[in-house]
Amino acid sequence: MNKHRVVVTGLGVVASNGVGVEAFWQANVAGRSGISLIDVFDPQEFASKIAGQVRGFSPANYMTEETANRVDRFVHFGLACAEMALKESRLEIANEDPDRIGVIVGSGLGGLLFHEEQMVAAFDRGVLRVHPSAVPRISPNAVASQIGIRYGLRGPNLVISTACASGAHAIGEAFRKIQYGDTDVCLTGGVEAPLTRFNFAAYCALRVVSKRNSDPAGASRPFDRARDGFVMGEGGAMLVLEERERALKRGAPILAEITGYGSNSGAHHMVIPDPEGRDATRVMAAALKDAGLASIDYINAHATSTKANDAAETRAIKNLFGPAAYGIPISSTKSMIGHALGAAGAMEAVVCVKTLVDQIIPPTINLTEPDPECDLDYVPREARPAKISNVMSNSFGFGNCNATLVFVKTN
Amino acid sequence: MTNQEIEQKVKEIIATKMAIPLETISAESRLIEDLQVDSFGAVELMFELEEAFGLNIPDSDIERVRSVKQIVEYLSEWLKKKSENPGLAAPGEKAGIPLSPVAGEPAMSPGITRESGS
Repeated sequence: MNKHRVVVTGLGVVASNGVGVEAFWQANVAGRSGISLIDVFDPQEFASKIAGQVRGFSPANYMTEETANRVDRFVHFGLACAEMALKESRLEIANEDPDRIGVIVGSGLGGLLFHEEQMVAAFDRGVLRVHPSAVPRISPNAVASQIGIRYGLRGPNLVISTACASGAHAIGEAFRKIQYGDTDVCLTGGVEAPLTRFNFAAYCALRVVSKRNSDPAGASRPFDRARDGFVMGEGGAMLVLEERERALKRGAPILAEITGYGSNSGAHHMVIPDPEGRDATRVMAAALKDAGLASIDYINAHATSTKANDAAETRAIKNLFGPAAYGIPISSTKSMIGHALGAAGAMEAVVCVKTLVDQIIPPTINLTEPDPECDLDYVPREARPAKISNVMSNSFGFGNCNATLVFVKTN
Repeated sequence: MTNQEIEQKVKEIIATKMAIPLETISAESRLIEDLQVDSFGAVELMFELEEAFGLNIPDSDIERVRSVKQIVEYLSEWLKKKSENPGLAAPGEKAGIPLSPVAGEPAMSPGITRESGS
């Protein structure tokens, strides 16, 4: 069968260094960090006290106050990003067949914030004080359902949870659904609101987060010798993916085409990547093959700023591209916004699309002294104008769940 | 608390919950027919009332109150009972004593207890 071609017609993003696509993109090009001392809770007793906390975001700007009061923060991100993306796409739902529009969103954790509040209520005030809305607020699929309900979208409605690769997997699966004609349009992306006391304690206990508390903006330093773990981030991003012919017919803004998706597992360890990066090599190869490409102009790396990931990912890129790896510009969005877990892959997809549109590669900030094991071109510290026809975005989740997406320039 | 004060508070809770102007709610307003409270909304509303007035409303009573006026009467009756018997537990307390003003209601399940004092 002939697979349909799929284009991106709208973007929405909420990040610590910018709310809205333009603010976020300008911050990325300028190399502006969104990392700061946490103040949504008192971080004093935690080993790490910093995060990519989203500030200046008012849910009520994007949804009714009633809705804002009834959903968890991760759904705030989803509804806000969906609204932005739909607006940019100029998709008039009233003129569309809602049965042919789906919603596929990635979230690693779901409604953790409300979950935590309700656990406290249950233990401290008694089980009768658990709120009746706990189930629908906490459920990870609340985000896709709330978006579907808000706009009356009756196509496939899914949430994908593959830890730090959730957003990328969601976009990849949405791409496939449109390719194979299961749906014509899909609102897809990823969201995460992980800044809760319990969750932050859990990541601190795992010893994977940076303790560079005295230098928040310098704490996320992928590929740098002095990197000491990732910085937790929060936020979300949504894309409107659309079957190309119908997008052209309705005169939609066509920002980029998505042409490749790879998905696999390392089957190695829950929290340690294969040191040789074999699964990462295979997932990139699968996405390239899917896109019908033999080379790539830019890689938006997973690049978390942990010792293990950045070295293994570098090895994987060299495994796949051989000596040509040294000529591929690579950069890390997480150097600026930290790691927003299930949202990361979607936020990075937005960066990839904007990179293709504006022909400029955002930098890896804080990379002053590269780790000898990380010896590729990571576009250190400053954005770089370049001629870019295609880009690749990597997402590697805990549990060795991997996803790679390929986007290509249109017009 | 006078019935007027109870009514004002009930209206405020409904207005916030349903995101409607306070003045559109009267004592005669019926929850389902006039205020468009659905079955889940009714459960949430009862929870908000429990929190605001410090009581546990048995499920069977939820179905008895169908208008603002009935809610006010119900709460008034209960608050009176509580003032005459201060030993009745507030819902935040773990005893889980049935607080229904209606006799013969089954006891609510007790709250989770925690051994440590942390």
